[in-house]
Amino acid sequence: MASSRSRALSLVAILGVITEIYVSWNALGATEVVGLHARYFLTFVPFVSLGLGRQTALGDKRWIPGVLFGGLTLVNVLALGLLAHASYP
Amino acid sequence: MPLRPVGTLFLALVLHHRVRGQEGPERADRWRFFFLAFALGLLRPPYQLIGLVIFSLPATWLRGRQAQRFFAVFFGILLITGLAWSLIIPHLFTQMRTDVVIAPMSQLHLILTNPGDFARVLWRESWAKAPAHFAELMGYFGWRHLPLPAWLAAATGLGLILSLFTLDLRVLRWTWPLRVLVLFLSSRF
Repeated sequence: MASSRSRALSLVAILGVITEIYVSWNALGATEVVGLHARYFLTFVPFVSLGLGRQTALGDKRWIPGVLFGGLTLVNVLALGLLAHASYP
Repeated sequence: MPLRPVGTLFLALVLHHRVRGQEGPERADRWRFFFLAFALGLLRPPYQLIGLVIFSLPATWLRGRQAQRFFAVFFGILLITGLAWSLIIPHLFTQMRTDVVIAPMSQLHLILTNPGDFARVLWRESWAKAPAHFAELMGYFGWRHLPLPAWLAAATGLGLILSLFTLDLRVLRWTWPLRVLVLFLSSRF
């Protein structure tokens, strides 16, 4: 129930963002949406995740969360390092 | 109104109540949500749509007459604030686009009179271009125009997908997989 609600919410949010950008940022009758950036969807990612997430056999393996946690921390540190390097070369 | 503090606070509040599994809003919760509806109304379009996330609250919050009143007041504040703000600040929607003529009302009229054409535009953006949007979501720092190396973006995407398949959403608790997902999200904001 909650999962299908999250999926419906995700769909409405995605179509809503596209419509809003099309109406407020694009020339009359444009055939494609200019100015749509993926960052507009960022805030909906947690709730799209709630709609899509499901426990599989992976959830039973205790080492997976630890590896993911370490891996994602490393990825974040590398990404922030690149950002700092680009901002303050 | 700064997007990140307001957006993050609102999302955190919804997620907090979702995890807590509380039966319905208490008086203090209502006021917190109403205040955030006001703050969300002051954001730049299309970020007011973040308000839709309120439907992710536990199912027990969505039933009954009191719940209807709560949601009506929440969206009332959000809509009125958003409309009033865009009227007070003229050209809020169009001030940064000088190369073409922007006419939101005429565009809306065109959508309503030619829904087929707009459906094709929606289809292209939401489905055909979905892989490109996903890649951008994983590995592109917007205003800095800084793409991450492909392998780093791929690792992030893989981390997200794997964390989704380790979540048990029937009983949402602060488990390690959920913490991993939140760690991923923290970097994207």
